[in-house]
Amino acid sequence: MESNAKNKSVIIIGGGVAGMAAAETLNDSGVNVHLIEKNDHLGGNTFSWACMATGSCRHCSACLSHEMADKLHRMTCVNTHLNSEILEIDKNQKKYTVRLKGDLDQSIETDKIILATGFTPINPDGLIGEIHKKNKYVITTVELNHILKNNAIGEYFPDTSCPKIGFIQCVGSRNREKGRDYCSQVCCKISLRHINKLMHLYPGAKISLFYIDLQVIGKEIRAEFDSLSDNVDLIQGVPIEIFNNKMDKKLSVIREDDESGSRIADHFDMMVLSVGIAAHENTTGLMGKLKISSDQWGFINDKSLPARKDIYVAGCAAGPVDILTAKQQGINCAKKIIQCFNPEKPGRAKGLIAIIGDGNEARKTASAALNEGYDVWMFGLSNKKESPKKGIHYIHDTKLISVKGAAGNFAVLYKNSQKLKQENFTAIIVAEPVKTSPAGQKTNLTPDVLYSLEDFSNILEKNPEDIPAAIVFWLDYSKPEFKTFSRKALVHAIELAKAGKQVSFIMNKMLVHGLSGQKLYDKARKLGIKFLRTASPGDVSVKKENGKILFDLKEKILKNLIISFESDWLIIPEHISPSKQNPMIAALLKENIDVEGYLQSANVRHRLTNSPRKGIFYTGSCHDETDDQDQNIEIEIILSSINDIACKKTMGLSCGIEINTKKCRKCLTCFRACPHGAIVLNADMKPYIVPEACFSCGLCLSSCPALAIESKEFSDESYINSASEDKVIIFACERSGALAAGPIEKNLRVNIQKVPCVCRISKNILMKTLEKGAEKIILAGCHTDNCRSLKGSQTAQTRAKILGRLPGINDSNIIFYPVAANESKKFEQFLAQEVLSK
Amino acid sequence: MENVKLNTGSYLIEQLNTSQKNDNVFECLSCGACSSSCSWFEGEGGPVPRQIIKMASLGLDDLLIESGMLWDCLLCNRCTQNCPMGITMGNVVRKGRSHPKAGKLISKDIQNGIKTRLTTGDVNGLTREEFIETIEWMSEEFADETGDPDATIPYDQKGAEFLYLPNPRELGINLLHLTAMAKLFWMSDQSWTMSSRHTDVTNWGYFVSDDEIARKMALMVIEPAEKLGIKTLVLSECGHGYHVLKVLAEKLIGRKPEFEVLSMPEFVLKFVKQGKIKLDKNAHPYPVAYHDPCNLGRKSGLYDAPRELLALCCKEVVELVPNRENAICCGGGGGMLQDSKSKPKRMITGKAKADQIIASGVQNLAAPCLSCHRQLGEISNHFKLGVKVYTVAEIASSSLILPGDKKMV
Ligand code: SF4
Ligand code: SF4
Ligand code: SF4
Ligand code: SF4
Ligand code: SF4
Repeated sequence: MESNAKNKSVIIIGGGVAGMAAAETLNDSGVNVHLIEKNDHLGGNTFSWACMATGSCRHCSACLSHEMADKLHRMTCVNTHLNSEILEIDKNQKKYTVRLKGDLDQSIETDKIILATGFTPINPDGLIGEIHKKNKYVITTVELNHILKNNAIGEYFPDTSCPKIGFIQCVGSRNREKGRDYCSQVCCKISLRHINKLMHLYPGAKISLFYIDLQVIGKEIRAEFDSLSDNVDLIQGVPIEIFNNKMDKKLSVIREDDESGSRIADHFDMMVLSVGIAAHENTTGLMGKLKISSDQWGFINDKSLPARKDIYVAGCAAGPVDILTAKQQGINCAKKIIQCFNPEKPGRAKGLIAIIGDGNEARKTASAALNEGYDVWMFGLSNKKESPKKGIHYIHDTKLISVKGAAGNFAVLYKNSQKLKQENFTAIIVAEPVKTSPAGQKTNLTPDVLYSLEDFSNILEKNPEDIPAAIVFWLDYSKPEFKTFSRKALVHAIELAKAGKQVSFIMNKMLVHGLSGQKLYDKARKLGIKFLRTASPGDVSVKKENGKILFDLKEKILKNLIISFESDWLIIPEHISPSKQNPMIAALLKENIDVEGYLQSANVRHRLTNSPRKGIFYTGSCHDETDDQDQNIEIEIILSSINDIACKKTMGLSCGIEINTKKCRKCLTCFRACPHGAIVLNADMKPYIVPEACFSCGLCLSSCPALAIESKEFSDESYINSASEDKVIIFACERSGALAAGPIEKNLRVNIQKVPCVCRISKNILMKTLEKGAEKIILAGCHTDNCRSLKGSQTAQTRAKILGRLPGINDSNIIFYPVAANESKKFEQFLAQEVLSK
Repeated sequence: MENVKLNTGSYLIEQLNTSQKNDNVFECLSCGACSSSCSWFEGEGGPVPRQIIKMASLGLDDLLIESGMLWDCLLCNRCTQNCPMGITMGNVVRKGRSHPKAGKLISKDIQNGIKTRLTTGDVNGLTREEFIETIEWMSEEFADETGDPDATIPYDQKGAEFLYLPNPRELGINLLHLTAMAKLFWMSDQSWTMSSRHTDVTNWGYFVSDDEIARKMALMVIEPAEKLGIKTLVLSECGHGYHVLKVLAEKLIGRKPEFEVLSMPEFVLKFVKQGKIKLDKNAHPYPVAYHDPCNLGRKSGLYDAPRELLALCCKEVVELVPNRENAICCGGGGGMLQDSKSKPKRMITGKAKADQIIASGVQNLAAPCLSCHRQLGEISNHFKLGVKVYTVAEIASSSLILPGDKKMV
């Protein structure tokens, strides 16, 4: 079956995150790939972005592009064409012939094309005056990324430790007059992370964030925003011009004063323009060559693609997305192509899938799995009785006892109706619903006028005639609104306004996610829907009088003023919180919950849908802020990953690590240590490694007290032997430290050893390396929360600390240094100052 | 804290919730871009445009009227330049000024000016007899000055090609300017005339946003011009006059006027290009900075002709920064200059312009608008800039190269 794919080839245009992800996926299925990149390196825009870690990883994902680029160079099916551009594309019979302009002018025959041409950051010229061209203290977020990546921010503030910095959002986005009436989606998150980073570097910094509507959306962003908002001056309203203030050599902007509302001048040491995402200029030419159309903004209209089945689009070429989504889209594209090359016959039972959770999202997942030919079991943890699709085993009120085994063969032990039962599954998908509770009790309004959004939706659907003349939607009632709710409210409001109802919103901000979000909001305003902004929910008071709801509201833009109005009904979206079951589920699956209590750690190495344990997946709002569309994509990718497991595509791969049964003492240290759940116990309680679940991190190996676990490729000796006298030896993680060290000039005193994870380096290796006379050992691992093996790099840190306290060892002999793949400069400076100078 | 009631059917909502592009205040994103780019600049009062829009869109008409922002606004549309929704502030503010309750805000001078204009045809009340007397006297002087008995200032000449419409100041305090213009017509060798029936390029109906008044005033110009059968109406340098007669006229009177409209610098440039008018670049051997009047530039799209002309008359045209679409108002727009009590305010609104002039380092400044011209002169005095201010056509006139057969005595 695989042979089909092996004769095929795919051309991917664009070597950014989306293109690289597609290439990697196709490579793994043996498809020949031509990856065309116009720059002299892979990685796209994000390759030059800085690491946002502040003590621990902030999940910006920028370092992934380095890891992906590095991996690609070693892939056998991928031909990378750097410095190359497409000259011509011809279609003959079923193939495309592509002529390249580059180092070698050549032509390539290919079956499919993936467009992953990415984006261009919007040029701020003319959008915000011209000062940024002349003044080095007015920079874009792109430039700030470069500055931070080069560890050069210090040059900008030589004589202050408390710089005053302003961020201006939406530069070039959300602007109908400039032909860009869409939200660029990522710039709010980027600015929040930048601010966090700057506050970390300059704890005394004073930072102002000027925004229109902050898009607080996505995993952990709510928490990030929450923790920042106390230290940052959040100012609604963007300055549009920056002046050179010759008097105190500062930059000035005019803004409205928060208290008086009059206009005042505000002064800064640096202004950062948060520039948006525009379609890449190369995309236009390509679309002409392929005779496909773009949308009005120049993004590739993927709706125009299905008619031409051989062309696919991924990443920002189709509209702004963040790094993880771009990566996911690349993978999805590739999987679709692989399926196309190797059509599977449906209808055959492929295996069993367990779905944990009940409710809409779980049902939808279950149906999709059923359609793909799996046997599906749904474990509802609540006592709600669902009636899912025929053919789905549904068990409600389940008590999960344990999840044992590994990908392809999980044993789920559960209790139901007082009975203990066990079932085996190929894979597990978690789709536990979030907890929703009606909001707005504090208003003291009676239920005949106060509705949750869901209840209101039902009325609108079933009894629209019951809806009175005046409706108020109240967003951000208890905390930043969830995107599904603001979208739903907006869509309802438009429908109501068109039917002649009087509709108003109370909100702190409007979420305009998705490519059409801004247009929808524009439409709503045009229809006369009123949007009243408040600084906090406390600025609104409501009471009921003569059947009407009376509002008194302090509008954010009009100061010192109470605005009174009335309505018939008030709609407040329900309050959302993580399911109470989450800690239990996470413990069973040996996973973490995130800072807000949702499932799945925020670690970017396994997101969007995967977990450190292969074969266990997450979908829907239990793990991230998702809407219907997001979930469809998630389900698609999960099912295709399960397909790989079910078809045993990952079987038979050797992980290179084995437990020597003769030496094993059955202490089960390894079983407990494995962060990926790859060690299972056989019938006589002996641990063994399931190769398809193992990530080869080496933690078991370095933890086993009996030294019973062995690696063929990377034995302890091979590491120890590399040590020699008076040298600094760096054990560097192949995903972080080793990549960061890559561009660092070889220094004869330094010996860099690439390791699968710094946790591979056992005490044994450390001690013996020192014994051999190494001057110093540096464990260069991932930032906390960025380590693929979760606690791997922390384990290494602990080891370094413990050994450093032993007699005869100085704590400067063994240093743990957290570093990301994109932190070469920082690493280099660290080595130069801390290590090599001494 | 004041308490107001949100109103969904106010006068302003009715006026502004039109489907007409750029007039719909509901479309405001509350982005704040306008507030930060207002010509009033920093910290000294003035309108907060985002609040104007917000009040209008919530039907808080009374609040807006009482805020005083309606007549502080210079109708310069500088803020509109940066509005992502293209909401035209000038239109919104003018609609506010037309509010039935806002009449009391109109300055005495403007009220009187309008009354006089509507009754006499001239904002200063110049009668037809006075006009004829003035023009005939000036015409004689002009012939004497040029030594050319054919060099006259003609009026009411049927069938003339061009009709010159002066600013009232040219028939009063600034007669020299009219002579300078006459010289340009004389050199162009075109048949031209003035009209005793209408002597006023201004239209204060525009400031108070009373469409009926504005229409009447426009017709006072248009109809007699059509009767004379002229082909082109040449306007004295006046920003809002140009904006009304060139851009708004058709909508205002419901039809296209039967003639073309040019501003004086455009007229001159046309005949320079045809080789009729010759200019001496050395007449002003120093750099001159150019000021973009909001009504001419941003609001009517005329940027290049005056610059081109100016470049032919002096060493170098210096740009004030920012300029063109982003130019800063002189500080006298929106009817402020027409209110004799506004001087203290105008010296605040003019501060940004003064800073701009200082930064440019020039000693000479040209503006193709007599209002800007006056405001800039006052700014120069007030801030002790020592800058000489001209109109563009005036500079052109004093750069004329007189051919052998036309000699000044
Ligand atoms: S470690 Fe990677 S994902 Fe984490 S903040 Fe740094 S660059 Fe971003
Ligand atoms: S609102 Fe949208 S376009 Fe504006 S800065 Fe935020 S993400 Fe970017
Ligand atoms: S190498 Fe890592 S993933 Fe593999 S079994 Fe050992 S601890 Fe688990
Ligand atoms: S039109 Fe001019 S004066 Fe009026 S608010 Fe806008 S920028 Fe300010
Ligand atoms: S610039 Fe336009 S959209 Fe923004 S606040 Fe002003 S009027 Fe509203």
